[in-house]
Amino acid sequence: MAARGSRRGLLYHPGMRWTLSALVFVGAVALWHWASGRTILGLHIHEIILPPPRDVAEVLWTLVVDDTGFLLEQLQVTLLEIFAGFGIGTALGLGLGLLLIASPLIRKMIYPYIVILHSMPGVVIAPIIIAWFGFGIESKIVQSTLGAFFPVLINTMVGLTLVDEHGLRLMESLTANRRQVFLKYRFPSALPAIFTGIRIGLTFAMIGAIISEFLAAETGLGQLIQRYHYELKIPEMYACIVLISVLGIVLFFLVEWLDRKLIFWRDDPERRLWQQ
Amino acid sequence: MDKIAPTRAPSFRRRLVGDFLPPLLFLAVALVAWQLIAPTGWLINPLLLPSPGAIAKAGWELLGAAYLGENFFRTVYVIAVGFVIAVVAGLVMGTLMAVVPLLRLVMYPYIIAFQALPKIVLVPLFIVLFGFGAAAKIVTAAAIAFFPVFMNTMVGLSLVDADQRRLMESLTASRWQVFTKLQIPSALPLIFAGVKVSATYAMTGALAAELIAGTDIGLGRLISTFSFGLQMDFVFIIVIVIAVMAYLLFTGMERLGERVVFWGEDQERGGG
Repeated sequence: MAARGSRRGLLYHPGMRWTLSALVFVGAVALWHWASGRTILGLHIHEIILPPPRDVAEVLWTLVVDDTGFLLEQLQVTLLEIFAGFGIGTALGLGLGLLLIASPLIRKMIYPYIVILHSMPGVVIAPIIIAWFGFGIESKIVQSTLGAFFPVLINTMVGLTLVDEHGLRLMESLTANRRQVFLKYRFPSALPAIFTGIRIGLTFAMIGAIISEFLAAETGLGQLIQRYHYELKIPEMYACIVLISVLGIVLFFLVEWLDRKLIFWRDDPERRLWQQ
Repeated sequence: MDKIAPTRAPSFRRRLVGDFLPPLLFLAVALVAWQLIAPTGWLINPLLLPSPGAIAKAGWELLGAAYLGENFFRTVYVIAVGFVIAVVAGLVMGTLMAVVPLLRLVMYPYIIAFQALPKIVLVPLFIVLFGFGAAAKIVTAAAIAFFPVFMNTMVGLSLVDADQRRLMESLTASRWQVFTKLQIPSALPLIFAGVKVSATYAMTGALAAELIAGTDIGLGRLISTFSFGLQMDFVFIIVIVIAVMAYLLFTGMERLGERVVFWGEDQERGGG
């Protein structure tokens, strides 16, 4: 944004920027408070469907401070589902990706089906998975495994296929054997793509676990949201949605942080967008 | 834009899909083996995993059913409307954020939070706010599909090549000229990549909302109803219909992209 340097004034001061950001939040909450229970443009927004922010905050406080044990129990189950599925899915995706790269015949046989399954919304098979594995934690782990599996698999294959030819030729002309080419060149240069797959995989693992909990579950944060929904405890439902959103955002940044540490050479131009 | 790792996935994909024989052979062997094993009851519980024959029979029955059409077209409608809303909103907001850097910097925490948020958790909220009809599903589809278009529009328009920009500016190009002659053309491939991802996401959103709500009509609703009745043969045939829809949508968008933004590289960007 160098070209616009001259237009920078007080408005672009970092303090100003964050003050304005905070004001946006305050404004949004104020708008929410104002809209709750009011008729806007002939549309009545009932307090039941949009409880005022104070009610949600109160319930959230109760849930976090008074019912900590109960909340942690639910959180633990959801986290276990997400991480078990994420771990298994990543391992399977990486393993199958390597196998398919190593064996062209198997790749030709099953790759079209992988493309079809990958483009299909995985959520639609959640009821099948639940019928097969029950209402318990197993079906959630399977669903989140499927979520993590495809992005990791596809990115592993794409990453290992699209390596720079010049580097390959250089290694070969320096008499590197196949193992060396793979371990020292192909795999390392595929790592950014693979880790992108892992990043997307975590998001999808989480979506898988939550979807499955929404549909049928005994414990977990997603199941709690559905239960409050059915019981028409709407402020409680809002509070749980806030909590699960925070969980999602925390996990996202955890992987983002890991990505920066592990794939430190990645050049992500998007990051430049947020600099002044 | 050549700093973003180029992924030449389509040609790679086409090369593999081009060889039809091995995959068809694999499918034929798998189906025959499955059909032969099914009646023996060994390994597979037919109630949970119906045989290919049973699924085909359910498909035939479903074709004759009057309700298939309305459910199918409702889902297509929800996907289409949600997708269009997402694309329009994404283009407008993305352009706004690219043109007004201050706005982008101020909204930064919320953009990132919304990117990180698994939008699916909002489905119960949308159902409460917008009811059990089509509206909540359209909102879900739009909310999930919004982000790829929005992000790619913003990134594409903001991060143009600095040298090209300087050249245009030194030739006294106006801001409007820089925008229409440089920023838009160089952003379009990225924007279209976002639109492509959005189409798939709109489908996920629509089906997820139909499935979770379990009310009204739609393919997701049908899955929900049939799975409660443990009519797995019907569940499977609908899943197959959805898989075919998804595949056609995916490849269709890919082909369209090659025609519309023929000069750009294929780039994909996630954020569920």
